[in-house]
Amino acid sequence: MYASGKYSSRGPALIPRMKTKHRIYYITLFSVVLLGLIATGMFQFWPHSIESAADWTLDKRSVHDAPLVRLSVSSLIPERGDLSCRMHTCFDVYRCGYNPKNRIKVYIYPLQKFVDELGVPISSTGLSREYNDLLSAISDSDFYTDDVTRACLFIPSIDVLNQNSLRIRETAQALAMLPRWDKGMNHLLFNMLPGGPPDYNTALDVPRDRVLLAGGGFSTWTYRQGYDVSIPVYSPLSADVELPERQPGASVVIPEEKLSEMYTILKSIPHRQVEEMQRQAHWFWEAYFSSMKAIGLTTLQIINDRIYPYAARTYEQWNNPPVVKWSSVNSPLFLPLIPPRAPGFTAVVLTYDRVESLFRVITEISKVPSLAKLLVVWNNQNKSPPEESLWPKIGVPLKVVRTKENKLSNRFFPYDEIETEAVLAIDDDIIMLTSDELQFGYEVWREFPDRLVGYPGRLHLWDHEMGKWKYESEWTNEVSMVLTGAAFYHKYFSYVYTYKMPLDIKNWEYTHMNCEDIAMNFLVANITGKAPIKVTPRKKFKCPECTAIDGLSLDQTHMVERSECINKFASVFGTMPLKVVEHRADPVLYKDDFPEKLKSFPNIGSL
Amino acid sequence: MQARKKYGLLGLCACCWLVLFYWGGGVQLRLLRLLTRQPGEVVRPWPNWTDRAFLPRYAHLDEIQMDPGTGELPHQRRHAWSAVYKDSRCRMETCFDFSRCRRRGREGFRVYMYPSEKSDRVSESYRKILASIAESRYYTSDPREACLFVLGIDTLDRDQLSGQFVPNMDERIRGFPLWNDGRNHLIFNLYSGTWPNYTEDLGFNIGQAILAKASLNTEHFRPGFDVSIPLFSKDHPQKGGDRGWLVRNTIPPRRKYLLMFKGKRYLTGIGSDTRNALHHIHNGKDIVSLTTCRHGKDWEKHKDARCDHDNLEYERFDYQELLHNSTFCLVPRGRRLGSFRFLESLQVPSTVRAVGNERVLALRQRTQMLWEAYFSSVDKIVLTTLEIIKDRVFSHISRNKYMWNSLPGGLLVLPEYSTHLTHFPFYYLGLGVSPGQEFTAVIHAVSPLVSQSQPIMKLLQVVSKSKYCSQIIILWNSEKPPPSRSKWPPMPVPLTVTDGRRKTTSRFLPHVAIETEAVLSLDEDTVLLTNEVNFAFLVWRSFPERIVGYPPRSHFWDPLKGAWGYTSKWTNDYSIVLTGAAFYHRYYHYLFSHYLPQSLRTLVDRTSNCEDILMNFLVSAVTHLPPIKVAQRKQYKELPSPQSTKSVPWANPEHFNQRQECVNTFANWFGYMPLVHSQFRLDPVLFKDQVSVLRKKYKDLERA
Repeated sequence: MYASGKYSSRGPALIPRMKTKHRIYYITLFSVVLLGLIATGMFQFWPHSIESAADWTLDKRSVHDAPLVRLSVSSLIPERGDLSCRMHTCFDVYRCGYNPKNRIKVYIYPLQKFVDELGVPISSTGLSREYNDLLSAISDSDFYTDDVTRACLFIPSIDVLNQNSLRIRETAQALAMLPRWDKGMNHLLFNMLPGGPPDYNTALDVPRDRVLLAGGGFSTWTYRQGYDVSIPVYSPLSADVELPERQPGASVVIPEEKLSEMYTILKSIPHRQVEEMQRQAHWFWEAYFSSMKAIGLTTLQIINDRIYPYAARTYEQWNNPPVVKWSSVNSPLFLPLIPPRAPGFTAVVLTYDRVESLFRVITEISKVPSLAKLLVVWNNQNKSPPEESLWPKIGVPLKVVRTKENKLSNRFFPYDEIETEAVLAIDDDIIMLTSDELQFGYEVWREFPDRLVGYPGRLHLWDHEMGKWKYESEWTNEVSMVLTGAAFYHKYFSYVYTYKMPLDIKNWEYTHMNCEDIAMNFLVANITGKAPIKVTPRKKFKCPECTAIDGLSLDQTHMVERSECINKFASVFGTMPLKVVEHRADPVLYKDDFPEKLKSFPNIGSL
Repeated sequence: MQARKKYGLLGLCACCWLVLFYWGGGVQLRLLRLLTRQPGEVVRPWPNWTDRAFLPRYAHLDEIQMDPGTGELPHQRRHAWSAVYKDSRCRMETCFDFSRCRRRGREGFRVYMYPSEKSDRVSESYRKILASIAESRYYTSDPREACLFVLGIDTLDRDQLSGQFVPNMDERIRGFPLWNDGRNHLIFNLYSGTWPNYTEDLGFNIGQAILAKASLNTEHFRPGFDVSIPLFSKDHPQKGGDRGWLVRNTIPPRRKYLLMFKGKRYLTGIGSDTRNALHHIHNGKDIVSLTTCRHGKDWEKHKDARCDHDNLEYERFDYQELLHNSTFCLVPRGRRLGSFRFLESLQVPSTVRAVGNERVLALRQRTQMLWEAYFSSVDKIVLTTLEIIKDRVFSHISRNKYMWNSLPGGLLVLPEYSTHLTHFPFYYLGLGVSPGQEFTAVIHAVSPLVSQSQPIMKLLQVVSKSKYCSQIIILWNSEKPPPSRSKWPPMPVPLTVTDGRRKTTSRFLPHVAIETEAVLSLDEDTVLLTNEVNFAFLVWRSFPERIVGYPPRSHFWDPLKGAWGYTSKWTNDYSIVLTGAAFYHRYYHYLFSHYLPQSLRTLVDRTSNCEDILMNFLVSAVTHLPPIKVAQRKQYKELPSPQSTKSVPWANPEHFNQRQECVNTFANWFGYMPLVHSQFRLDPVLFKDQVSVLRKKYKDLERA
């Protein structure tokens, strides 16, 4: 009661006064503050207004506004370029440090105008349009940093593109005055026209200590291998370009002594090669030399590759036009190896709940001599696999893996339990394959470790009426896929399937519960550029009593869906990678008139 | 009162702020810019100069187009330069006499070896180098036709403290009339300099000679002139050499250790700082970097605090075990130069960990490829050196980088054949192209034409009916002159008859008439069906680098004789298909005639035998893979009719023994057994399947 009394004694007296006397004052104040806040907000969140304002204040500058720097006669002159310079002697890579992007940071010195004691500029042209274009491009690129302490490469804004316009001694002095000069360490100069009468040197004559030179017209003497960068001479009026170095596939080098034979040499170049050289030269021009921007960024990329050699672009990446990259194949399993028989293969059986059939499959496969391990992928989350004691007793280790989700792609997971290169993917209802057929399949896989080697073959066809791909499971003379219900493949492909398969395809196959085998065929063909190998004659692979399942495969809608899969995958891959062949692999003496008991694989193809 | 003061102050502040906002815009903006700039956001650092359109060009067009040093020919200029730079700046153009290599191709690139003097002791390694050159196809005994010269004096070990050091080199080479300041000479060296600095000094003036040296320093290396060779031991095999250790591509490719190094630390002197830094990366788990202080006699004098512990760790790990179980190996420099790639010593682990699985797989296979193509024997090292120099001499017909760096390696790519990648059998996949759709049939004819029912007549019919056949060449190797044009049946494809001069090897001559990539090689008495030809050709298009043929043969190791055996029996596997009926790429004709030594071809011509075995050896040596046998009805000369037994040479036991000998002679030259066994043959997809013949494209192959 006391407290309220206290409030009531002062409060009511104050508020009415405020209301009457200062209303206008407060309204004005609050609206001003509100306006201020809105204005601030506009500046905070409306980048355009800032940029245009910044342009007005910072960028609306003329080249002539650059601060003047006066050189004294006695100021330091750097040493002549050091011909023995290499990246590890004249370049401080530690300044670039380890960085996760493997990208060098480049700093550009602000523009200054250097004059000698008499006020005469060091260059007759000053900043040229080309050099300005170059620096603009670099400052817009990912390489750029404005933090001088973080930079590992410094580019002076002193334009030395053309030596003829330079006063050599004064230019050198100007370079030495740069704040981070340090004997030219980690500094990059661009020069296109070096030398002058009478010697016409092939490298810039300005004393420049350890500077890394990106120059046009190097000779093999002045060019410091692995240090300098050779660039083309940019011609401001035409598209003429002098090729900087010998361009692979785009030029023919003829020694001077062979000048007399030049005609015959050039005539002897095949027509196809000439066409390719033209294409290649055009591509080089477009990609690397067409503008000052291209030249500048190419130079930085070359230096970047030297500093982070482990992240460098490959020779092919530098030299192959996208067309070649697209059509050519660089399989990671390119070495012609026939892996030894001894490690054997791991059979991966995908199962849901057909325990009886599964046990029959396990018993059959366990008879194959080269079987090293059996892995059962239990894809049923609602039911536990049978007790250990109920499983068939076999001579090789048997492991059961339970999956978290009922996905068909689980069969292709690169389980750590798979210790062999060769994997046999097999369905839990493929009981008709004999031990000879499986062992023979493994032997064929050893000769084609980079391919899918499987039993039932399938074909894709172009349906002219519908204008799209069609899936074909009839008796055809051609094969472009093998079903992974029974197929050998390299464990590498399960790794690629799991981690590198386009997400589009994975989702498709998950929602349709179908086509994981077609996806695998696409994947392998796309990586290797090769067709799968179908082994042994056609036969009924599944048990006669499993007709219901057979019925599913033959179901018309199922076929339509598989055709859709092919069209979907072809569009995701952007091409049709599958290759069609007319052959299958049989044992050398298959069906030959020869005693069966002397054949390695007699039990082939019998029903 | 207090409230009024408070609000008054607030109002004043707001007014000030407003005033500042409207009139002091510049300051405000800069303040704002500073506040609003996100970290990492790039503000335009290089301004868009208002007058950038008025900036001058960096040069006038006539300045650019002016040829510097006009009026001076390139060779005059080079002459002037070479006077300035002397030998240390040698380039092919200044220090190499091209006029000695004027003839075309192989003829222009002859290598002469100085005879060794009896008093000279030549090391095992150098003896191997000389033997390789003497056996190479470039060797000449006539110095007048030589383009390149190799010394007979052992220059491999130029360490003065070494027992193999040859003194007075300068005097001796100056005594050679051919020396000519080392022009066109090639000098091999493995070790140079000596303790303590291990300089690059060879102890004599090599002048303008080309240096092929192990661990060359980039400072002394004359680019485009010297050749860098690997350091090899005296036990390095002369020929063949082991295949790489990589027999399979395990996934994941990671091994037990990520990175390993095991070696001496060098407590003092050159190279010690590099090796000293190695202990920083050792973690004893996945990165094992072991150094020992034990080196030389007086290592204990320089011993430091780490030595005892390091030496113990060093003994704990077995080198071979580490080598086989490590994903990466570290190659730091030693006393002499190893590699400068070591720069980021402390960053190596993180860098190495960042390498992806594909990359590891690819790198591992690449090392194998390089090893097998260029380094596994002294022969390969020496030949690679010669081929590099030859490519420089004939730069307009040389291998490009792709040829050097992809399978099967540069030594098996002869640029005189072509410099265009699609002309070779092994680059189709890498280029994303397919082999051509046509083939040329080459029929080897030895019997005179007497009747129209001769097997060759039937064969001509069958082959010419194939839709893939573009032309037929008959290689006339009979005693009788070839019959007139009218004697041959009319055919839908062009027929050419060429004279084989009765040499067995002539069937593999690179005839200019062969215009297609695929060659179908045939004996005159081969019995085939058009469909068999078609099917085999389609198979070949899937395997253009291999031989695809019909009748198989096999080789085996005979432990009793300690020699290779040859068998024509029906077996479950094969390693040879007879070239009496086989498809292969025409490039193999060129390799057969220009890559193989004359001695082997002479053997074939003398015995009129084994040419097919030699071809199989050659192709398997290139591909490391077996040939491919395709389906065929079983009547290919397998069951000779009784009356012709005498005339059939392969029924003769002598003939068979010769073939056995051939296998061993060839294996000897290659230095290993290149033949590989295969266990399958390729049949048409529906071959002998229980399905209506109407569905079958190759039904006549099934008729017995």
